Amino acid sequence: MAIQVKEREHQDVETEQLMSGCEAIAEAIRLADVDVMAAYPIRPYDGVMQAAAKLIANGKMDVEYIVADGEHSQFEIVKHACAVGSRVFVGSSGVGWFYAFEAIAVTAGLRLPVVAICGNRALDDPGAFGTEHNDSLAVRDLGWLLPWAETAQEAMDLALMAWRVGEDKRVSLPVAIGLDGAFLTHSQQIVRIPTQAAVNTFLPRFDLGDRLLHPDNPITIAPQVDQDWLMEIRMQNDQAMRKAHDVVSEAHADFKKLFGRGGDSPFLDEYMTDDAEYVVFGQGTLALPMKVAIRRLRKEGHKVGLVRLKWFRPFPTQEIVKSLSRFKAVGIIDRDYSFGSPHYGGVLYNEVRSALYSQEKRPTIVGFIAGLGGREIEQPMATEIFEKTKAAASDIKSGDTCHWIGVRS
Amino acid sequence: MHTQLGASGSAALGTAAGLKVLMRKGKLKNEKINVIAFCGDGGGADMGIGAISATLTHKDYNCLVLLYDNESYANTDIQLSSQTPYGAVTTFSPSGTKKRLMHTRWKKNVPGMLAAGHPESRYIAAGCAAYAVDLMNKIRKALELGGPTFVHTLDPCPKGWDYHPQYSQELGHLAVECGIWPLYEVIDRVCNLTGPTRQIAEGRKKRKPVYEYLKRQGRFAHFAEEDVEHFQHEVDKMWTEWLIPGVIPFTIAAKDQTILKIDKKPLHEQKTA
Repeated sequence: MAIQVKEREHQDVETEQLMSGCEAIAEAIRLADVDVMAAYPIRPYDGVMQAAAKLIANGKMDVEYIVADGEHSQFEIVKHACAVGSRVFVGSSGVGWFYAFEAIAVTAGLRLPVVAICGNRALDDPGAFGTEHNDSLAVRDLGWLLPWAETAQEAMDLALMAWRVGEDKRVSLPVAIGLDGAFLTHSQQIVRIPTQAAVNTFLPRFDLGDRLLHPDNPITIAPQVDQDWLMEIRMQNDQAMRKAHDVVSEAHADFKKLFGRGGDSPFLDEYMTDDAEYVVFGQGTLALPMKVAIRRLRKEGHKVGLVRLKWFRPFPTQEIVKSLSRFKAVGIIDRDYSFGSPHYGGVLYNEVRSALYSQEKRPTIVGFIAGLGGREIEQPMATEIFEKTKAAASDIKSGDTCHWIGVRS
Repeated sequence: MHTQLGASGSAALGTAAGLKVLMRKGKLKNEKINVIAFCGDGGGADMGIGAISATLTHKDYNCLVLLYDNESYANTDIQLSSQTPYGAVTTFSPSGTKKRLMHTRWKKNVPGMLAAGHPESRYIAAGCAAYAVDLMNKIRKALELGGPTFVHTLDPCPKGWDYHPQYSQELGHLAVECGIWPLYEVIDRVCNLTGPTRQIAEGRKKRKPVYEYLKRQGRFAHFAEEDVEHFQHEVDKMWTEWLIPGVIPFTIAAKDQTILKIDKKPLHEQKTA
């Protein structure tokens, strides 16, 4: 159901403001007229709740704002508020995300379009606040849509997309936006804030239809089905996730028409790839230091580029195949780990390799684990990643290796 | 809507909050909708006590949490919970050749704890379906008074307690008449004992010995005389030592009785000492 919009009619009245990724999400909450949100403190995601609480205190938005007694309650509260027809927002980070895991799992099973952010943070122990993607990635098999933002602007834009896509009746799945802790949650950038009118055009009112829990619509939700119906229900979730691909594309097209942002592809952001021979592939804020490295290496004559993944779920298999088949070698940078996995690689590494398996023409895919615990990806590390990627190009089997970058001996 | 074990407080809260905001914003017809979350003793007294406690502090939301207490995790094959009575046999606390009693913790005082800890909840009660009218009235009052409210019911369980189903009501009566399960309600911080509990407290009815109750159930069949004595002794304390019988498990020391004469005028009207 594409929306009829005049191209870029609202752009002139957008305002610009310096804000962090968390504050940008809070603005999206205001613009989306969220009904219920539930908060519980854990760094770094909680900057969103702090910013949103200020907006409520200053009368900028009307949201039922509940400070919960823990993450399990936080996610249960919004799940139930969503079931009676509320547009909801929630979030967490690291081990807090894991404390809510049961509620996170059932929310996807129930097909309730809860929108969350996961302020990506290393999982304790040992204690660490810095970014790692294993918290978000832990829900990758459950039926949550998982977009990842690079900038504060993209964080806001993806949040507006999240309600639009998640609440679409063809999808009806929860969405968790990945925001790299500190690098994005707490770094300030200039953000263009859309007008309320434009957002209202983009984002229709949430309507659960005949799934609304209300005395006038007597239904039962989440009964025991056992082996009698579970496979059919799982398959419905699978179909919803398949449909989500096109719904994301549709929303992206409308978003671009209305706001003029979002890039060429809803799923991939390519940087200097037109004539590139060797590219790196990753998600989130690691794109920033890699872009700096690319500009530097290009001056030295190296044909290098970057492909950044914007939606990890649904995984844009066809887009990735089409894009990466053009290159001689691809270095996958995982800001995560998957101990004991094939070739001891990261999550992204193995997913991308799996996507390319049946292709006749495929590049060498080599894995890198970098930036764990929020460690900066510095320029010498970026150079090393490109050098190792280039060296791997001649032998596809050399990709059966995963390099840890910047580890002290 | 079925929810997760331990999530009844959050389910009630989220549902009530959702309905409230949707009605305020005009997205839903404004009408009274009762929100009731059911939980068991496992989901309510053990796993979900934190969420219920939090919900009872959110006075802007109208919802009732109803804890159905059959004193074990009965759905998963009768495992002990914090509501299983002292000494009772469950699949997690069998009586063996070395250990007669595997479960030696006293039952957690849930409604008393919640009433003491949540002064803004307008209604917290303990009931039993064996006293159906008393329980019905309690549910009605909870929903009528509004805000977050809580009712804890004791529900005899033929399978878990090991007795013939025809005795369910009788066992409910005995639990109350032996003084093991007191019936009461706390309305706006005023405690009101109800049913036979009130008669016992006022001296109009004598408590029955706990043996009358214990001997009717297979889960206590392994009790030796000393176990029955211990059980009786603990129940006696509820009636002789607690500040409010069966409700508040502490009291004021004899030497501190003057505390009860505290000046109850507002602060600005009090004379300085």
